[in-house]
Amino acid sequence: MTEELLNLYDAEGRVVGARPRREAKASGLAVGAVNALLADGRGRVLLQRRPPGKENGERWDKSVGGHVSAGEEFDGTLVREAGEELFDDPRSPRIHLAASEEEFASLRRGTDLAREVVLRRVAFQRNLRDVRRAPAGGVRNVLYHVAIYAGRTDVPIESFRPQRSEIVELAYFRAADVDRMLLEGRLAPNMAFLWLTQGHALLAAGEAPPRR
Amino acid sequence: MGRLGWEDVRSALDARPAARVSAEVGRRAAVALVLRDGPAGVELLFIRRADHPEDPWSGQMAFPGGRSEPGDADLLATAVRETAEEIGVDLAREGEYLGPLDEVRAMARLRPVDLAIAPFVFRLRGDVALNPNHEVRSAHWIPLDELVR
Repeated sequence: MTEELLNLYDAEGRVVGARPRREAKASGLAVGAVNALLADGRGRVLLQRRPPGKENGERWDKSVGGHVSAGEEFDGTLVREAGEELFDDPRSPRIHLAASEEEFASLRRGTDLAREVVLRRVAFQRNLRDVRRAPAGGVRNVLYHVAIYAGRTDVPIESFRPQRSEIVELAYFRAADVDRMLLEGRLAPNMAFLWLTQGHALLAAGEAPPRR
Repeated sequence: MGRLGWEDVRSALDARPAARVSAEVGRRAAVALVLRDGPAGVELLFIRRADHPEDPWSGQMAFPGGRSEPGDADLLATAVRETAEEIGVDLAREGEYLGPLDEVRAMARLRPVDLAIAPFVFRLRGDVALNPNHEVRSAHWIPLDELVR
């Protein structure tokens, strides 16, 4: 199987090349990733359960996530991954990414959230390190630049068409449930970090546009 | 795969220097990542913060820690002081300091706030009882194997 080519970045976030996935992660340079948390109108967060045998198998993970492919921009990756993972269509017309808070507020009002998803970028973190088990034993550090998105949807679970190769199940959870899943070791490690550092803020971001 | 051990913790910490949040962020805080030899190998201490209407992180999962105060020699001292206050453990006496992790910019109620959080990793010696104060609703030990894949 040919491995997907990923962008490689320097510490300041400039693209300096592209390498196959595994080689990129072992390069010591940063790879790009997108993380999104979607909340419904009751303040619950949409999570996906990963298939056994995949990275983070059987764990519950963020609503949408993925790596920036060679030649892609972060926002393009987010739209592609959200379409693929939630509706099995990289160009799904149900995904709307707002370019600003103002556009997000207007999209939220003008979009049928029972059918569609609206998001915007809320943070960008450079040089996050992900400590992972190394294939040969021990641990290794993988470096990431991560664009973080928050959004809203009220799409009922049965109306999603999750990509079966990547997702076993989708479900909405209350914050207290996610806390319990963290303590029980049922969250993917990246999701645990996202939840600890930004989770509640992201849920709030999905719920109401910020006041200035 | 075998359990993660103290050599793995060491090698992760030694892999590179800890990154700092930009100096433009004025306010500083520190947290302690307290590890112990537990029933399930190396375990990490989480706390759940007490419910408090004026705490932006009220009721959330967290690590012991808090804001830097004028009497703290440095941020490491902040982490040690806050841990003693919040869970009644004296890391200077009962723990071994292993090293710093990357600083994190705090988020609260939706936006990045003017606060950088510096995490410091400690290993507890032996079986130390926790004595949480009013700021802590509960304390939980989670095996490192559950947090690293």
